[in-house]
Amino acid sequence: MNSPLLEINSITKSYQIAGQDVVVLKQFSMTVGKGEMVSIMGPSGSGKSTLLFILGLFLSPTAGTYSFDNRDVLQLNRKEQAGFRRNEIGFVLQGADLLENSTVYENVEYPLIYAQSKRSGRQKRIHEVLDQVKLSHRIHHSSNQLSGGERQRVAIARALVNHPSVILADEPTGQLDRENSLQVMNYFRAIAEQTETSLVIVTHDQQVAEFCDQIIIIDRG
Amino acid sequence: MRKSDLIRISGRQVFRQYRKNIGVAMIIILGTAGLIMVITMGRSIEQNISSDLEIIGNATRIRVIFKPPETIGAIQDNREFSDRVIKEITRITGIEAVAGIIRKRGYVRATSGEREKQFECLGVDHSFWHIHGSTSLHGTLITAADVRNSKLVCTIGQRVAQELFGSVDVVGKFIRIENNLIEVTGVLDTISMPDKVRHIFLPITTARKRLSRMSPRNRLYIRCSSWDDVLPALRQIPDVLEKFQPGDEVELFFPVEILKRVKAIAFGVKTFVKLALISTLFLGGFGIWNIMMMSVRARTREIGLKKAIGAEDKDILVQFLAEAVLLSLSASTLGILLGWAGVSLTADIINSSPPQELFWFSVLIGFLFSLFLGVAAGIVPAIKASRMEVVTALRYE
Ligand SMILES: Nc1ncnc2c1ncn2[C@@H]1O[C@H](COP(=O)(O)OP(=O)(O)O)[C@@H](O)[C@H]1O
Ligand SMILES: [Mg+2]
Repeated sequence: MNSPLLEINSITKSYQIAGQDVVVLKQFSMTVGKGEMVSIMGPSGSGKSTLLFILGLFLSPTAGTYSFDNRDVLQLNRKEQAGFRRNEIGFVLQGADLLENSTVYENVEYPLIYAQSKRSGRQKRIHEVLDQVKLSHRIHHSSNQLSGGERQRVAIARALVNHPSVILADEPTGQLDRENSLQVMNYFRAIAEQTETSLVIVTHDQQVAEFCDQIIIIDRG
Repeated sequence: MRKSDLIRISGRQVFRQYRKNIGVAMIIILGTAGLIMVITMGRSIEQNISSDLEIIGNATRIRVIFKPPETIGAIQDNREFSDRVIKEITRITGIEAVAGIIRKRGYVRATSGEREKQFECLGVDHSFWHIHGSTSLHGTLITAADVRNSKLVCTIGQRVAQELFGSVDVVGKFIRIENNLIEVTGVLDTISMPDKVRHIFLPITTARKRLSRMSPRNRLYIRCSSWDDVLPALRQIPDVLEKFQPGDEVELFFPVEILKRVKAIAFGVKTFVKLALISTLFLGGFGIWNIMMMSVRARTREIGLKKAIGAEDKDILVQFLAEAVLLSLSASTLGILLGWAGVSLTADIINSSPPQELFWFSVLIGFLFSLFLGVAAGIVPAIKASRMEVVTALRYE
């Protein structure tokens, strides 16, 4: 295995539900290497999304440590967290969330806008990532006109556009048929191999999981 | 976020969602247009209404005569208003025109061909017409040049024309009075002075030179610019007399009751219009606030998504604020255009040019107000949106 990119140790997360603490993650640890593809499996409600939110700094754990590139990222303030998300993380949300009433181009441009990248370089970069997911011909289509598989690929291109160190994908094939699922996983594989980007992919699907280098199974508690 | 990106993104949002924004935009457009029209044309319209009411009620006209002499049985009262006094009264602010008249004592005999009749006769200034809101039925009423050059011309009432010529359109015909051949240059439309259908009007200068037994100039008619000017003018006229014609005391006549009522109506209307406009604009502001509040809720997912792909709180805040300001500013720009069109149209109708400075002043006010409206209505929703936690936003369905 390559040198580790991110490492979490003894992470515990509990939610307050009706005044009671409900533990979702308990003493959970994992390590992801550079360019490594990891899949997270587990039944519904086992805390997979919660884990990804913690990795993306959208949630802080109740206990445990998280180091990213040897930095303790749990110490970051709100502004630094946003910067961390912009520069290190590409998020592919559950259900291929695109901005409605916006074109493919505009969707992929947003991360560049928030990273204040120069306007002159944007177009080239957007074409590059759309080429990677074979969607250049759809560049000026509205997101509402795309099929499920195409939306998922736009979401991947958008996650890639800022050269992240890791892509976090929450059930990226959940709503796709077999053929489209395999296609998406092939893109992920290619990305991991060509750009040394690590991937953490939450999935239900055994066949999808088998594309990965490491399979982690979480179960309640 | 770069400024150029901010403007692009919020512009896209506001104009792509124009269906949702159109109602609020209309309110702001109309409110701004109305505000501009009221500020710019308010005074012009008021003056115009006063001149219309003139015909009905003479609300802004003052009549000045000398106090009757104390001694009973005075043989002749020769007091008259000097040119100087007339000039000084004209100078009082709020006074638009002053006209002195002289009257024939008794009647004049006027002849045309075979016909001969007796009529009343007045010598007038050209401003006499303007003061009474009079217009001509045919030809032109006695002009300034006629007065200056003591021309042998006259304006006659309808009945005079009927009785002497058997018709009303008699411009260019001549009548003879005391051996003067006088051309009829105008027939008066006596709707503004129904009691003068049997009068012959000569330039005051001509009447003085050519006719016998004319009274001195002991009666003035004064017209104020608007009903707000009447009371101040009433206070100043005696002072002018005291200064330039000491000892000659005057009596002032003006339509107290009409003035009171007109003022009350005008005040009511003005207050109502202003209140209506201000509430319109606040309604617009409330509409923006409501739209932004609703869209913070409806756009929860968008906010979460944007934060997930790297937006800072500040990016979300400025975007929402920019959308609110852009909406109110673009609506008020349209409102200014509409207001300008309205001002030009009104100016055309009431025949006065729109005051440029007032117009630009009202544009400035309109802009500042809508900027304020946008910020005030947008700030709370924007803060709310920017504080939203990503997880809450993404789990929201
Ligand atoms: N904000 C929250 N408040 C309370 N409970 C939550 C919250 N978010 C998630 N949970 C609970 O935590 C558990 C794990 O949720 P999640 O991480 O979405 O699981 P998965 O993605 O594996 O289906 C679920 O039982 C869910 O109801
Ligand atoms: Mg989940």
